[in-house]
Amino acid sequence: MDPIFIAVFFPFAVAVAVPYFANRYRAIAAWMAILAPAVSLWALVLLYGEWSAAGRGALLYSFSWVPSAGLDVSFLVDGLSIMWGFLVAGVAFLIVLYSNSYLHEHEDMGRYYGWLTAFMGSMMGVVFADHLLTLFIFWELTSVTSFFLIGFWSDRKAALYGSQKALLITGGGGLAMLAGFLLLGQATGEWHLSKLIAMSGVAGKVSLAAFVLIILGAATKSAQWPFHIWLPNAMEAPTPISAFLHSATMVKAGIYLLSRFYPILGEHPAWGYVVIGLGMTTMIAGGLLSLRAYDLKAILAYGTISQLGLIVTFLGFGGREAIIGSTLHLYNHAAAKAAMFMVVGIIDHETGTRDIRLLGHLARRMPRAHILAVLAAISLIGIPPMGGFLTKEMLYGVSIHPGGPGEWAAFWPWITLAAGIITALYHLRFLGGAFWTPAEGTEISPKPGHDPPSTFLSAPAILVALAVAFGVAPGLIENTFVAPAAEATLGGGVRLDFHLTLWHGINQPLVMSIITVTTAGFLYWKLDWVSAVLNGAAELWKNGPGPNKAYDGAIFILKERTWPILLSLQDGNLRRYLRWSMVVPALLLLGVGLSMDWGEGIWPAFQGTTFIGASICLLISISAMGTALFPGRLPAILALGTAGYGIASLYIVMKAPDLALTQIMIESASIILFLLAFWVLPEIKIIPKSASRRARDWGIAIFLGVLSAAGMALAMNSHNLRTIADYFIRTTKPIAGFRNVVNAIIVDYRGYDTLGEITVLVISGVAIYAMLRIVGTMQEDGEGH
Amino acid sequence: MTPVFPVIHWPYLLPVIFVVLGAVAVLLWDTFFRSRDRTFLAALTLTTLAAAGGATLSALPGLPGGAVSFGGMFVFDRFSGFVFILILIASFISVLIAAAQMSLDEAPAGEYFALILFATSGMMLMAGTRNMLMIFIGLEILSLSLYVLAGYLRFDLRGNEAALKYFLLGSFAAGFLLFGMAMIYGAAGSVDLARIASHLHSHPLSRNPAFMLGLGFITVGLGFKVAAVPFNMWAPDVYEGAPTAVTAFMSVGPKAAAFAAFFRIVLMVGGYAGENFIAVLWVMAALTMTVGNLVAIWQANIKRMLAFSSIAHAGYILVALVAAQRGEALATGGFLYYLLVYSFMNLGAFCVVVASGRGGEERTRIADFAGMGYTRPVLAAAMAIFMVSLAGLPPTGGFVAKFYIFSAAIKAGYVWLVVVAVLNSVISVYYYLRLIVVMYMQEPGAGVDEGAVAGPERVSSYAFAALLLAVIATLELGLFPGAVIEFALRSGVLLN
Repeated sequence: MDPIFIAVFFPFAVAVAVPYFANRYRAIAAWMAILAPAVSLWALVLLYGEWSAAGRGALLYSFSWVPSAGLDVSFLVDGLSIMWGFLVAGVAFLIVLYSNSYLHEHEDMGRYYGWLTAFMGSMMGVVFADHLLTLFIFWELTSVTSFFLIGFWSDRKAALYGSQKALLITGGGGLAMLAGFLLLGQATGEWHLSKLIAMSGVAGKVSLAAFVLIILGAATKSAQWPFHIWLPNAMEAPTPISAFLHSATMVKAGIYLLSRFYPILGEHPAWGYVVIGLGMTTMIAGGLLSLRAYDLKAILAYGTISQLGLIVTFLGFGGREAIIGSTLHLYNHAAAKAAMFMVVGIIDHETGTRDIRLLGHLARRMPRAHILAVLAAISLIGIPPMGGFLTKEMLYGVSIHPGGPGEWAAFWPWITLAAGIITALYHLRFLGGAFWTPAEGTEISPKPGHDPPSTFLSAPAILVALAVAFGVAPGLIENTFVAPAAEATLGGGVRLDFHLTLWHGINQPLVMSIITVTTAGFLYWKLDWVSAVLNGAAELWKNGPGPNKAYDGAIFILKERTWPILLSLQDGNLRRYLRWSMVVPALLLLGVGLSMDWGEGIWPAFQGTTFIGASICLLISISAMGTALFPGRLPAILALGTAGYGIASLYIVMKAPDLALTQIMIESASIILFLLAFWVLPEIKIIPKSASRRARDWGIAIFLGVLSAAGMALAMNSHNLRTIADYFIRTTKPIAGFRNVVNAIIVDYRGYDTLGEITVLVISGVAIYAMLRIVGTMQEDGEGH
Repeated sequence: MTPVFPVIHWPYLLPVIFVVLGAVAVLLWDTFFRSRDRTFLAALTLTTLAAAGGATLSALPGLPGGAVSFGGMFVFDRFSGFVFILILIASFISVLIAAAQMSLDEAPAGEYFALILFATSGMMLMAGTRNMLMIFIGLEILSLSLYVLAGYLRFDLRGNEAALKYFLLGSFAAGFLLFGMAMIYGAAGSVDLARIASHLHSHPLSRNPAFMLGLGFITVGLGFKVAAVPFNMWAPDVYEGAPTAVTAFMSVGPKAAAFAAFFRIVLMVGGYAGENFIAVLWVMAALTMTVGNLVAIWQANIKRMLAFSSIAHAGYILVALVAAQRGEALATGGFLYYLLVYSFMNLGAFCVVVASGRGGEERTRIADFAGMGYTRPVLAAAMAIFMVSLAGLPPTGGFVAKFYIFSAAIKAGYVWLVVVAVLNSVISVYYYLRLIVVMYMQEPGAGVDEGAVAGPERVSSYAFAALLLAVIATLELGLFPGAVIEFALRSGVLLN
């Protein structure tokens, strides 16, 4: 078996197996779960070897599933997907390691590790999928599995709200993406990413709708404004889950999608506007929202949103420098952000709170956690020697000489600079609130807190070490992972050869960095001012519209307004069912009928109407109404019979004696059966109806009756039919030897039909006899039911 | 003077003849040797169905394009053959389920199985004809049997209500259908679809409002039978009230037969109705899927949930009909494959409902399934597979079937309809998976029998056989669909 299949599907196997063992043998739960990322990592190493040996191009592994539909399960291994694979599996490994210390003894470990490994497998599927539909399936699987992870503490209302919100927004975005895929596939005739990337000029063939739909998928997943609202609510998840979902995986899937589609859609005229617009808005909005949060996790959540905006902005600019920057920043952000989340988890675990107003001076009591947090934060702020410094410099550089739409180019450096300052500021606030300054009020954290055992600290420590390594020695990853990934993102067989260093001499980006740090430092000193301005703005906008209000409003309308209507239609009331079943088709047919050419109209059908025919029709109509209106059942049955005999008389008038005969016999038999049946049934109770209801019911009846009559009248208009009478008149004598055509038809042409009819009548007679006997015995028994 | 007989291809009629003779045999046996034991009658019914299936299969290989008997009243082509097999399988499993349902022990057995067989013959006639009157007669044979079956437990009030509702609304549907057929007869001068088509082809003037209205009325009538929105209202109440074994039967076979007739009508004459008619089908498909899924989410009773789910599935099948109407060859084959998969997964799900009942008592609330993953692992695992398949997730047959229908619709140019369909599939995942969550993640509620937890799981051998069949088929059709897909695609070509 190819290692790629192991890398993707082994986690699912673990996910299925873990729940059975984990709750029984709790001690091994984590060790079983860690097998998933460990084995995947091992498979990835093998895969990396294969891929390097094959010249670092694009490798395809596919398994034909339903050949006639062109459906296969195929995986694309290139620089981009293999880098993502390592990122996902690597972080997953550390998360499981960390979870072992984080989870309390009594938690449902089977469920936790089961969904966690299933999520990891889905992520692997997303990054390696080659077929667009495979990509979609794994994409939605990440939404579904993350739903269960976010709502893990299902007894908390907020967790349920958060998980539902995440599922609806990211799942819905996934559907938009699918619609985009379908349009893309239809426009290009190609469903494989590898082929789409190799194709030239795809962007020109793709409609704006398809483009926007695909971007929507990425934007919802990556929590871009205004779809960012699910992410803060998703912080109800256990902290390791937050660290996993929001540093390296779930939210980054959108980034992956953008990178993957960069060579396909990057040339699209809307790419620059849409992607840069999204990224910049998100970068600023996320940062500002972070400054107003008090929950450490919320600060990080909004920070994550802002950082995702940064990466999206890089991708929007496009070009060599920006793509390398975005790729490198993925690593920096994954390492630093996961580490920070883990530190928050440790703080929460040790002190019992995450509120910065309750926490104070943790630097003294938790020195080791403090160091890790500071190092991770300065990486994201962009201070040497951390990896984040490199990417921050690159972004500043790119923003001065950007790709993308030229008319806005003058603004980019300023917006980027502002975002950088805000980023630095909220990180300082994070560190200050937790570690440096005293608690705000008299109320303080439930537990004083102290550094946890080393095992708990090991995972964040490894991540921080990596964050340092990326800065000090970028050579570790630049040619192994970053360059191939950037090459694959750029597409077109580009080969990159670059060497990253921390020091580039004094240039514009460095000046911008210095401005960033000094301004942020000044603002942190005057943090009260900043808070006052932000709170004032929030107060002004309190009643204005916003994405959260839109979401809650939509859910409200769906739940409280729409569903009750849908459900009330199905309340078991037979009359309502009948009414709907009559009215809807009638309206439908009326619409269809009116839209057509009625030709000569319905009147020709009434030509040649005789007085006697019309009288019989009137009689039938009146009898039919009588059936519905008579209060007693005997008159109703008789009225029904009259209608039936009326139809028989019509047949006579129309010169069809055989039909008339049959009709009379059937009618007589059914009247007898009716009477017999009603004999044993209880009296009908008629419930009086209000006048308005009666009017409505009459209206429906008349409407339908007229419509049907019109249809029949139209049907009789067709002049182009030949009559069968000629045939019978011509052939009766020579073939059948009869002079009476009707007789010939009954006993000769349709002899078997007649035999059948007689048989039916005999059987009905027997049935009537049987019923008479039953009624007789029942009366003897004195029973009436 | 020698009598003139119509052309009759007896070998191809054998399947139907077997089923009818079997029904009569069951009825007579029950009349003359009254016994309380249902086993023999069940075995006789199963044998009949198997024999009919064998006759169908043996008639298929040498089949030319198709064989027309009784001047078009009975048509045996590959399409009929596939639908026959499907209907027979569905009836077969339904009989197993009925044999497993204890509450039916109280009711007379002979009529039950005879009615099932009569209904089966009606379905086969509906699928194997191109004559509109025959479609109607088949439908009536089927419907009358079902009305009785729905109220089979005579002293069960809900069953009675279900039967009455079904009868009343079903009669209206039949009226609509007949009315529509009469109008088309008026417009085109025949009840034979092939002749109608040729008449419409050579006389453009006869594609008049009468024809359109007639087709519309037929759509309404068949829409009732397949429970398409807005003619779906009877379905949930009847599904809930009828004995579960009957519900299982009702949710599959009749739907397959009505859809087969629908496909034949639409493919043969629908093309002359123009864009408006396609638009009607399009809207109906979208509405059916959406209403079915949205309402299913809120159901607390599993039979009701499955009722709405089957409404939604009718919507997916209508997508195939829309695509087939555009002449997309993949669509008809996809439709057949979908029906096959649907039969197995839906019958399987109902079978689990029947088998999870204790004694004569049924457990139909979704809450009753809490913790079933631990108390009754075999049933829960089977149910989980059916749910995954109903949701259309790989690696089950439900996924492949949906994929076929959707890709056919895309090829026919109905991208937006497919978008609606996929959206719906995702909504449906919610309530199908919820049942799995309930079974595996919730603690068993109060009143769960301790015996089931402690001792080995007991499943009646009939239910076990039905489940085994359904599980294997659901997985097989998902993992190795190749051969059956080819068969379905080849059967998707109608005899004109």
